[in-house]
Amino acid sequence: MAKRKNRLRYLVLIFASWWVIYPIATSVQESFEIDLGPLYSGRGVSFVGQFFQGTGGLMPTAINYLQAFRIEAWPRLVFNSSIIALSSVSIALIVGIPAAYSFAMYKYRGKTILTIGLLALRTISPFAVLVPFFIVYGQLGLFDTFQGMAIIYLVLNLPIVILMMRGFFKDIPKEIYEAAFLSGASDMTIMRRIALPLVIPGMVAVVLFAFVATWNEYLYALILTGARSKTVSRGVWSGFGESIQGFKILDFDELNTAGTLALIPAIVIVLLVRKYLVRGVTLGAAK
Amino acid sequence: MVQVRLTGVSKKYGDVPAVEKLDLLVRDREFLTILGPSGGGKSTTLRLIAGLETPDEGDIHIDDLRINELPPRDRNMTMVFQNYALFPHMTAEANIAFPLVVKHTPKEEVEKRVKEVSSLLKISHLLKRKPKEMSGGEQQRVALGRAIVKKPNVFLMDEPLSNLDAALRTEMRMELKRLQKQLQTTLIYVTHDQTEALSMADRIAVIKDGKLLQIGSPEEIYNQPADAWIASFIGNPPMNLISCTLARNNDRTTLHAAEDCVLEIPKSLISKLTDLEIGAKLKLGVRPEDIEIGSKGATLFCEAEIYLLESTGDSTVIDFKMGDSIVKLKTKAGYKAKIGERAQLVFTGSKMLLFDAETGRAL
Ligand SMILES: Nc1ncnc2c1ncn2[C@@H]1O[C@H](COP(=O)(O)OP(=O)(O)OP(=O)(O)O)[C@@H](O)[C@H]1O
Ligand SMILES: [Mg+2]
Repeated sequence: MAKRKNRLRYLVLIFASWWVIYPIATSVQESFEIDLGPLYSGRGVSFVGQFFQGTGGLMPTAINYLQAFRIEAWPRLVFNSSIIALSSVSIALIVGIPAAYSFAMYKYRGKTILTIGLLALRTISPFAVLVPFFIVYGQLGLFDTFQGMAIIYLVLNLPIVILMMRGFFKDIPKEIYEAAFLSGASDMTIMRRIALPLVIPGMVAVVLFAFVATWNEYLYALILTGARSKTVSRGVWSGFGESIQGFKILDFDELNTAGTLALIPAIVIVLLVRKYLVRGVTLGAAK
Repeated sequence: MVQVRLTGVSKKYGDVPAVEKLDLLVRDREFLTILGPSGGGKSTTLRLIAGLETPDEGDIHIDDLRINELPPRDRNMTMVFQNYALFPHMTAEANIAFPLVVKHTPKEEVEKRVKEVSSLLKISHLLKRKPKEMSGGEQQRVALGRAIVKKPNVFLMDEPLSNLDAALRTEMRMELKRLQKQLQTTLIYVTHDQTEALSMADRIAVIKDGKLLQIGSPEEIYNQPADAWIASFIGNPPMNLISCTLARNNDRTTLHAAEDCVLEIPKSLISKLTDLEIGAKLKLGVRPEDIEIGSKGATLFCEAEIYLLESTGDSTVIDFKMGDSIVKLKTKAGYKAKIGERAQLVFTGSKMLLFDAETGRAL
């Protein structure tokens, strides 16, 4: 009985993994191939919609990657994305953690409104604010700057940090806080020495989530960055181009290569913090 | 001098009154136990004293200082919780040192104090361990260590022994009591375990439904419960409360308890009955130890049927059926009797108590 249930579970899990992995695997595979199709003119080339698909003559190769690194644009994109994501996530943590602590610990007027406001901030449709942002950023001189992008992403990350960290702080038994208070500790001390160390797994998960969300964000980057602060996510879709300003015709090999490269930082981080991540995601669930 | 005084203190959670108009005086250096049933407001009282809750009404004083609004960290009290509330990510040593470290005590001083405390509590060998690497009793000691290390004015303890096994609990009781006498610190100890209260406390405050029912030494609480509820709560087994009516037989005032149980009123109680009318409903309180099996002829006796025998090892408890109620009698171990037999119950008159059946107050 239990065995059959397990088998069913595996089936579901396999299907779910396949669903997630298939597009990625395809992309990775294609990034290591170049399509010789056009060489066999007339043979083995078919058209699906407006894109052509190679049906034969694929050759394994690393040439796409060599090309990616030869072009100066790629490292620059990674640099831009890293600066923007790191600064917005760190500021979100510095501001958000004390806010989350106060949300978790104290009752005060306007707390509900603030919470709803935070949620709204996060759920608001980017399309509604893109144009105003574009105009205001132009006026403030924030268009296509690191600061400008960091601020946008801070607005997106802060609610995540505050709401999730608040949950983790609240999961710590209240007697632990009370024992610390009675020991004579201040809120600052309790936050730093008691609460934060206890929610590190959760915090790692939050950081990761915010970082990856920032790294992958496309829409704001599309409208608000230009030659100076273009991010990886935008660069991937535009292809590498000959230079960072360039915009080329869609090239699937390049797209796939860029997409694969863009995955790497997230994968590396997830692998590094996997231990914390599992605990962080289940924090509070197992009590 | 550290005296804690609550005057007219009330606290509600939403609409639920947890503590109502409570007056309580905790004397300097005494071991005061707050005893009461679950949900009676014991923890709330303790938390009000600690400053973890603020009273809706009334005042709390330490000596002459009103501390209603004083934050917990400035009250110089420490609390030991039922679940110990040790900081899970810190070693025992860091846990104990915490109250000193947050006060920026010099390092040598911290080390010295931690050493003293851990040898006092016999936990020196545990200092490098984290809470989850220790047994319940060991964690308990570390929690105690954290509480005593900063030499507080008042110790507060909320059922600190209830997670321990019976043997360890008995041992820790005596140790706590010794520790309190040694440290000469006022201790307020919450429990719902009457044995614990009776064996440890200098004085017991009985709190039920958020109200103080009685405060006094364990002997007073045991021998002169102010209230029928307290009488039925304390003792093992607790006091028998036999419903009876005041009656008059041939010029003598008697208590009519059941069909074949009419008791003469002992002299010690007669004076208390002068205001009552014939037919008044009362409850007669007798401790199971103060009932014997005897023969007719004694002045205070009843006849009843043996209903059940319970052996507790060091004694035998016999349940008698008297009218609709059960009366328990405690006698020496190994007592032989047959269920269903009838026997004469003889009451030791001097220890009988009478309660008003309606209000429950002692007469
Ligand atoms: N945080 C709270 N919110 C709402 N009601 C509460 C809260 N804490 C206690 N109460 C209520 O207040 C009353 C008194 O609770 P309290 O915890 O003081 O009882 P207690 O005597 O300590 O009981 P126990 O022996 O079970 O610990 C109870 O009715 C309880 O349900
Ligand atoms: Mg309680």
